[in-house]
Amino acid sequence: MGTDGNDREEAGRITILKGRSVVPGVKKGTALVCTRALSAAGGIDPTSGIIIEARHPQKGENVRKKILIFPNGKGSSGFSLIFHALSLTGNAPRAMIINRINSLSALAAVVANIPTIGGPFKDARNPIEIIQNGEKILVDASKGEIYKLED
Amino acid sequence: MELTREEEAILNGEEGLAQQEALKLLIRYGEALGAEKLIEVQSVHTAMAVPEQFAKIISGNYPLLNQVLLCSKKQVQLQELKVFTTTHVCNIEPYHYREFSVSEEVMQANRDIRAHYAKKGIVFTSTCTPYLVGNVPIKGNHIAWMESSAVVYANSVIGALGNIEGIESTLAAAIVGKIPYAGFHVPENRKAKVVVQIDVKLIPQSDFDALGYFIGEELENMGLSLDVPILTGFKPEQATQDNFKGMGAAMATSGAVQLYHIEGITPEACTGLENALVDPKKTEKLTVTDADIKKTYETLSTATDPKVDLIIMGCPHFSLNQLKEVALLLKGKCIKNDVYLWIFIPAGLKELAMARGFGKIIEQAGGILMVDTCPALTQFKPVGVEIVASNSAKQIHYYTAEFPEIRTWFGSVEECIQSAISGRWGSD
Repeated sequence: MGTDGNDREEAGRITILKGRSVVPGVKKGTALVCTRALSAAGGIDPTSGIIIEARHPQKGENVRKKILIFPNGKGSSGFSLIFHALSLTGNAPRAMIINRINSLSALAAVVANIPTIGGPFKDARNPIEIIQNGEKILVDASKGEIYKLED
Repeated sequence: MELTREEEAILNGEEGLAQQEALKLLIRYGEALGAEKLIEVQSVHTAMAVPEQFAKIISGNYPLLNQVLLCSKKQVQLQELKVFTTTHVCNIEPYHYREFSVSEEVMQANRDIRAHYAKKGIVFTSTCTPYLVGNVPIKGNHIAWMESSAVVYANSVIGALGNIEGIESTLAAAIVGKIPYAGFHVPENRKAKVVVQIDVKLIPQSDFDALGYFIGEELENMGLSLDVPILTGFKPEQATQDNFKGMGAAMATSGAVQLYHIEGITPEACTGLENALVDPKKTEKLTVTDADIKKTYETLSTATDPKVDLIIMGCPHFSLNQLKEVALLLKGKCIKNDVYLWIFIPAGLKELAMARGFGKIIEQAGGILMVDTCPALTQFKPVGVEIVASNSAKQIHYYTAEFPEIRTWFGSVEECIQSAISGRWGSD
């Protein structure tokens, strides 16, 4: 476990981040960390979940059934509709962790019913820097807590 | 969230199922935003462009469509809407759909959707620029609008108060007449944190697109993408509807800007810089130079071959002024064979342009005026098109996301029209 006094152990789980509950629910899965803001309409293909935005560093990655982590939503107002469609076609992420919530990402989380935690995070921690891509994590979006899972 | 007595009654079903289900969605959305209450809106801009994934599920069952859009467990019949409501672009062009292999069945389904929702009171403007065709809020109005570029325009240039909404929240807002009081509805959140010094010569309208695209992306790089910028160094003669329309659209494309101010010009910054800032001691600074604009033109121009196959303009939809500019450039000229010139406009403006003659000049030269839609949505691309030119940073951004193999030229309206006539980019 970390030396940071804010980390704590609970039933073998290490809390790595604490934020605000945006949409409640508990999910575990593999982290897909987007290092840049995410567009949905013209940014994610709703029929597959693949990120298609030109010049996006995670272009070609798939959000399907991942724990999707990104700095903030941006771009077209079709954002919620794309997440809504991802959810109806079984291509939605399992949970989301968003550094800064805006109207785009809040509505998307609600209509697609994806458990979501948003900032500000305790001690101004940034999930993009704390969570490693491919890491297994548990998201308790009801409590706003994120735990690291042992492999 | 705190509810009024009236809202409690709606939640108990006293005003019917539609309002009850719409309010439930708005409450969940409000809680996700951390809002304490709802606020009445004076204008709604929604969409009735239903993607394929939805159309298959719905097949003409509108109560089921309402159920899906309102995230309800029950089918919902719409009653009369509470607010003046217009629509965003849809995915079909009513005059040219056959050329893009849209079937009669799909076109008919689209007509039926319009007829159904028009009876409920929605006005089908079918545009990304509601403020060009009669949905024009005034300063201080709360609005629930879709379309990022329209919201940026209404927030920044008009001084209305709103967040970029989606199809679900705008339909709910049209039914209940309210939206969560969060984000840019709250005056404290509208103050600027980033001072953007514009040290640049800006001449054609596309320079303002490039400026907006650069600012949006740079704010992302600085980790300030959700903070409000204030631009300084603008000249009063640069403050035109067309310049601001393109600049805001670009900012909301490369970045997440929903509101900007311009010192001495826009309504919330017309009394100067200090009054528009959160805290004059805690501002971030960004300076834009001519080199930044040049670099943005290069980023948006990925072609090397001067050949041009298709010119797309009207993103956001062209204004009457821009149509007139095109007509003057095309008068007595002819577009080169095998080159397409598409100009996207609101249907209402096409009628006016045709009646006043300048629409006809464009069509006689071989240009096509497209209404109701946008190529990002229709995914229109004629066979054989490899290189696309546009005056719009937003258009290039989204068109190349849909068609990654496309190469682009970005430039002014004049350069675009010259390339339509010669079939080549540049003055050689």
